[in-house]
Amino acid sequence: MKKTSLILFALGSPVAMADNALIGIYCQENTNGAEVYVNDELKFECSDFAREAVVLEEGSYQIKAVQNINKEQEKVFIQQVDATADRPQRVRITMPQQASLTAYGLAMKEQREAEAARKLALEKERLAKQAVQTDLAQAGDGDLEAMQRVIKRYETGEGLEKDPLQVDYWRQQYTASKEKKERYEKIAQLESELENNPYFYWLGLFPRAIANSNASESSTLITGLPFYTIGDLISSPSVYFTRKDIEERLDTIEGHAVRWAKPDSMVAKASQ
Amino acid sequence: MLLSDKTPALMIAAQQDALLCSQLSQLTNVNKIPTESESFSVDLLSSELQADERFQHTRELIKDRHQSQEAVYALILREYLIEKDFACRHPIYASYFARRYQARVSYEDCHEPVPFYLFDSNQGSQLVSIDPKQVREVHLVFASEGEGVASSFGHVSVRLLVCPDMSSSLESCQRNLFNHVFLGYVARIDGFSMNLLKGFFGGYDAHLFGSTFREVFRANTLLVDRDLYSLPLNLSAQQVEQVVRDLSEIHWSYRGNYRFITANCATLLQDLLNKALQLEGQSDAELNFLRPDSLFNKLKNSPLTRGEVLVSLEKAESQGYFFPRNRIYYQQALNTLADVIDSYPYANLEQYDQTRAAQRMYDVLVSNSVYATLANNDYLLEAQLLLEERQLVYLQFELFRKVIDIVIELQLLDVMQAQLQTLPNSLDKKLLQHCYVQPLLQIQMLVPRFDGIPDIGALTDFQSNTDWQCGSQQAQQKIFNMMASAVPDDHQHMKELKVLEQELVQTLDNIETLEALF
Repeated sequence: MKKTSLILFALGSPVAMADNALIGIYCQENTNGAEVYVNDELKFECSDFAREAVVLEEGSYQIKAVQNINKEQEKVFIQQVDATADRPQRVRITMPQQASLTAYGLAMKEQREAEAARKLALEKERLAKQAVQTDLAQAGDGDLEAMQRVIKRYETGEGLEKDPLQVDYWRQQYTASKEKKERYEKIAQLESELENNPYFYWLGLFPRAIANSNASESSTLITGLPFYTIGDLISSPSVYFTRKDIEERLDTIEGHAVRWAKPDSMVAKASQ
Repeated sequence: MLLSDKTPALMIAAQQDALLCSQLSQLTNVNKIPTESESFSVDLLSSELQADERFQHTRELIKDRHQSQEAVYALILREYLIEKDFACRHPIYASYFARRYQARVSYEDCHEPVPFYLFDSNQGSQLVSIDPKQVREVHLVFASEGEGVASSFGHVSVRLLVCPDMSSSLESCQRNLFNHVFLGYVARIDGFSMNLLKGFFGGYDAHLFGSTFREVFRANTLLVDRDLYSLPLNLSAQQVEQVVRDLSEIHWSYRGNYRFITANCATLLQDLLNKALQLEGQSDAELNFLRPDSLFNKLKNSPLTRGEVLVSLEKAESQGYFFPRNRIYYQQALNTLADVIDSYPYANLEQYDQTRAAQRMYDVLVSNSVYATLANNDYLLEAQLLLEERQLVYLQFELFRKVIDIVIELQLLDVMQAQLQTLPNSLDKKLLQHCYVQPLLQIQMLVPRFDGIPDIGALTDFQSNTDWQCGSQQAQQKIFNMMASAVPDDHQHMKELKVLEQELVQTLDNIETLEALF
């Protein structure tokens, strides 16, 4: 009541308005303990709903309230005020929801981050070394992807010292292992095909092409049409690309035997 | 060219014979065009203006359009005398008249190349233009006997050794193999299968069929086991030009009747050879064989040809005069593999042929010694690849024949036409019409016949049109969809077709597996 009267008195006093400016500072709820500074000069400490009048010369002032949360955190209120003699100003201090870091807090944060980064780097290094050992072990066991990684490591120096001899060695290992893997995959696929093809066994008619290939020479004379015109009619669309692939290969395939057996024949020479 | 240059002997005779002179004047009157029916009375014509025996032989070569046997001579002579480009379109008659009336036939005014339509089962048929002056040699090509009825005595045809250009060396012309033109008389079978009775007694349309070298090579030395002998005829450059022009005219004009025994590839071709080699009327020299092998054997040892090129078949093969059946090379590949690899699983081609595709590849991969040898020896690997490629070629051809079997048995041409009728007018319908229905129906139609050598511009139907993208995946899907309802899946032929398709896919996979080892 007393403070309120003082502010009302000060705001209404003609003396005060003569050459000084008056700023009423109203501490709002949850401002207990906040230190109020005017242009960095401590003026008073807030308590909830406290009001203080500050008489100043006309000018521009920064009103700052700092409420310490702990050593590393604080809440800060800042407002800029233009103080004039003819018009008292009112500043309502409300502390923000979010606390900010104190200088000490900032320093501690940086310290913690640096420590985390150091630990991360150490962990990365440990994992990288572990990956190299794993790659070498897996590559030694014939893992194709691991071999490719080892080759790359020896080429780039990533995890292993650059070594062209090791690159060559692992490339050879890779090619050999790849062929072996593909060979056994293919064998398994062919075994499955031989077991599962239901047509071949009971038809008992194949391959007619070779057995009867001399029986009629008329077919190529019949139509004057390319194979595809006939083949397209009822051949399964699923073999379309196989047929196309064969059509594209035929010109090369048809002279291949002569080129292999008689490279000086005219067919071989004309094919070059 | 002046009339006196075209028929000097006739002009001299006309100067001494008023009747002949008058008839000749009437004949060459450009203002009065005689028709066949009201034309010259043969009885009244001078003998110089009447057909002789050689003229009848000449007519046989092209089966011209005229119906009358008697008045036609004067009509054709009239065309020869008054039409400027007659020799370009009708070189056979032009050379006949020139020889009879002692003129030199000239093609100086014929600036256009002559066309041929060449069959190629892989690439599709193609229209080619040949400058007769770029043909260095004409060969008689003999394909040794096959096992079919129609080929039991072999087959003869003609090969034009087309050069890259007029100044090319002979070797360069020989190397231009894939642009050489092959022409042979064949029965044009108006359906999908051959009727032996029609073959023997007539009924099939015969014409001079053109093929690419690839097709001839494929059809004879790969798909069947026939050797090809290419025998150069002894002809001057002028004679070569004449033969090339004659062949083009016959190719587009002649539509005869084929009989296996009496009007076959040999008898029809030797009529042309008799003319080209000027053997007509020489009873002791004229070629008159019924069998292709007899004709070839006669000519091989005759001064009319350069038979010496075939004395050494090794040399002949290197010069392009001999193309042996490829079976020997595939056998060589298999023998090489069997000799080097103790555990090689196949002893001969027959055994290889009887093994399904998956088993063949399995045999190669599962044996460590076979696999290791192939993986480390490119020469042997290539030999193994050849054996698989041979299977691929056969299977592709067999697939083609299987589809034909199905087309015949299920009468799919009729089905196709009926199905097409039910479709609304659309681009799809036009595509199916253009890419499949029209070409397939042409099988049953007569080959179009031209009056002499046509202009290239008049052959638009023979030029390939790529606008429709025939053979594309979309086109195939559309025709397959249309035909699917007409072809039951459980039909025996369809089951066999599926087996073939599986074998084809697996064989191509075998090839790719072997290629990956290189």
